[in-house]
Amino acid sequence: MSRLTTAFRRPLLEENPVSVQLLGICSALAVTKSLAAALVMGAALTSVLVASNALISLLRNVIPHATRLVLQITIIASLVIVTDQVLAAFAPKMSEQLSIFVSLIITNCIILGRAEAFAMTHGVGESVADGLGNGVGYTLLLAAVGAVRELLTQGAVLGFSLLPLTKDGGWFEPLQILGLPPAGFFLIALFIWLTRLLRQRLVKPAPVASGAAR
Amino acid sequence: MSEPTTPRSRRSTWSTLLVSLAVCLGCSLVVSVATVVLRPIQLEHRRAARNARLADILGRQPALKELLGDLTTASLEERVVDLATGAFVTDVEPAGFDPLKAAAEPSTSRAVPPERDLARIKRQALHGVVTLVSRGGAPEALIVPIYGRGYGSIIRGSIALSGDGNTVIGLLISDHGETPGIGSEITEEDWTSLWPGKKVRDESGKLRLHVVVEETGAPDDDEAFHVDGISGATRSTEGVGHMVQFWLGDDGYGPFLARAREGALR
Repeated sequence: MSRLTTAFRRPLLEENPVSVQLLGICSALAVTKSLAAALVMGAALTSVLVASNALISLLRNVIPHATRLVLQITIIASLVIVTDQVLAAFAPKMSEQLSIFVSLIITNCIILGRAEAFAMTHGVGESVADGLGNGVGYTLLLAAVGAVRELLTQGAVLGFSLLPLTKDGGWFEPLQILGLPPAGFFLIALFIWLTRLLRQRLVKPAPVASGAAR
Repeated sequence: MSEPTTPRSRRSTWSTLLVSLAVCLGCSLVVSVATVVLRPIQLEHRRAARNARLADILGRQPALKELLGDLTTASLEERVVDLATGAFVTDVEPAGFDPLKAAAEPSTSRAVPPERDLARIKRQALHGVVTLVSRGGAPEALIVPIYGRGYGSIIRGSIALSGDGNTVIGLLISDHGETPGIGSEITEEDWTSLWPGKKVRDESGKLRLHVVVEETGAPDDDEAFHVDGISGATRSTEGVGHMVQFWLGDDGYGPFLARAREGALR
């Protein structure tokens, strides 16, 4: 049981896929203009990650060594297509907003990374916990960036107005720069710094080069 | 958990091929099933999105929504009509068509003979845009745009007709500059609610729908063909009556409505 909880908890902060391992940054830049988009994207990635980890862990003793990467990608791609179709069917607005980034989950390094580094060598339960942890860790960071960007560009979070805009008679002048793609970089850098600060306090004996995986 | 790489890498080519093939087949099955099962729902959304865009264009005319029911369940189709022949044309884009602009351009308009210029617009476009409302099958309603001069301004609106083009479903005034509180009564429900159910033409094909004002004298004996004007807003209500007559008549959408009556839209 404790192995499961460790597998789930480690990627939340200590080994957060985005801010510590610097994986999946591309999508994190693209879909963090609003909190809602970030949450849906996070949920899509999490479901793909959990399912791919589970399937690949299940098949880990059957998958031939020679074609394992191809098969992992095939499984991941199928799951992504299904997720994309489900989104298009049940959340068409969000699907339009996320456009190509859902299908690009296929190339998200977190998924193939976890499949190869974890699911291929661990049991189904642990792999699911690991997938869930990484997915939630990814979602947490995306949500944080998305919330800040939405608040400072629209004066609202999830559509609830918090800072009344000047154009509606309020006092807040939106910071347009945060709506532009580079702002995603600034904020992710900020969160990387914050995560590492927290991490240093949490993890007493400063861990070695497990960060900056690539 | 252990280190099974050695036996696995020594697997035979056949078993590698077999497993790979099985995984691929399984994956393609899942993808195919998901796509086929979800496709109708996605198409439904796409149709709804298209309708929402058209309904948005009709948003300037919110009262139509009440009259025609939930527009999101219907399909709304905008078609450009050649007014002279009443036939649909495809070389004019309905989305960007502005009848007032087209009427100002010599190449896309014609002069209205003064004696027939009931709407008092002097020039009119050669084309018009009608919206066909259907729920699968033949159109249930035709929405025809109308405009003309009232007492002191150009009144713009739409008249919704039944699928055969002969019964009024509703009248909507979307834009006007009539005297507030007097001429502006034409937008009030008290008056627009008099229109639904009225007939446009009688059996002989004569256009008889009109607005009765004091000066017109005794109303037509058949109630189905007339709407009472508003005393005090005589000019405005009469203006609306005249523009309805003009646009439903031979110079307006008359030829198109004749085709609708004959069932050419089915």
